[in-house]
Amino acid sequence: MSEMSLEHAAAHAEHHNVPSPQTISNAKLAMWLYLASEVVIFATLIAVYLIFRSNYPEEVKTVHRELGLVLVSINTFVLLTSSWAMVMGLREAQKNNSQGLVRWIGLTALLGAAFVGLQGVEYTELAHAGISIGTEFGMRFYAPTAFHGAHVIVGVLWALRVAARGRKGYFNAQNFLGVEIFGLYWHFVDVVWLFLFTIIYLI
Amino acid sequence: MADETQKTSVGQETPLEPENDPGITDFRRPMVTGMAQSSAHEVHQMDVHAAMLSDTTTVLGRTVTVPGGIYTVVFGFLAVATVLEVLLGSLPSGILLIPLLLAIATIKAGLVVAYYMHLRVDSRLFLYILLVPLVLATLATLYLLAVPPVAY
Repeated sequence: MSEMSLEHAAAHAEHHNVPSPQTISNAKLAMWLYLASEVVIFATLIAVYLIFRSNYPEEVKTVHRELGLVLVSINTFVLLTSSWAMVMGLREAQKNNSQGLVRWIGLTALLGAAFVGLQGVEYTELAHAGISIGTEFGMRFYAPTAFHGAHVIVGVLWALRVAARGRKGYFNAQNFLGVEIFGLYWHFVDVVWLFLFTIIYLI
Repeated sequence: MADETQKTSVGQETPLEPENDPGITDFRRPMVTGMAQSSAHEVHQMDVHAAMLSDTTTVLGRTVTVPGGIYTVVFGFLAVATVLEVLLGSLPSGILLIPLLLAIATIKAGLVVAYYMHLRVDSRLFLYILLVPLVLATLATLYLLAVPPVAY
């Protein structure tokens, strides 16, 4: 839609006393569309796991006994805290505090890295217990969790980039879209984990 | 308020004079327009944004002041819900346990999406973009779960 038509629409709307058109950020729209595609990918992987869980509940219970809940619960807290740190970083950018932004986003990256590290520990424990990617359970377990882990790794790298740009004073109260877009990605990864945690580890 | 200033900055980065339009698609330009809310609603939106930067917020009818305001309060809810989930997950499985755990996970996800991803105050379009694939994928998964495992 050209700008002229937008202006005409606004004038027309004003004339008829109806709400005028309002623009939304292209970058934000693009990120939401990307996240929508991610919903479908993760849903497919979760569906595959759920069907296995539904057909072989005893096998899943055996793995649950093997795994325990301590490590994965700690990891869930780590990721939840990182989401909070992320949004606190955005808040600092909106308050024109670059230093605060860098501190919080740095913490986000650190917690994200810790999550990946703990997931590595868990995978090692599972491998020792004989649950490899070649097993019926393993192939359905590793696909969604490792795919999610890959997203966390990308998120950590992105967080470091946001922090580096923040350090150079790139973001401020007028320009924080870059932080917000990264935040959408990071929170989405967190939301996916909330479901993976419940579906794979708890039920 | 923050939203207002952000829009200004986007406007500054992308001058939108029609006479400069070379006639080709410029992806820097806003391509999608939505219907704006009434001015009273816009004032409300600005208030909501200001509230997100404040350390004081209202939770269940009570005024609470914590560093981080509403974001920290939401984090508190998420943490409590997670502890509850882990406790419930440790119980021997019962018929109500699975729907209960899924409900808690959905509430937690809703809190993150509404407050941390700002869908509570952002364009409705983003909400629809998220909900359409989510609903379709959920229905497809439920259908697949209902199909008897004859192929195994």
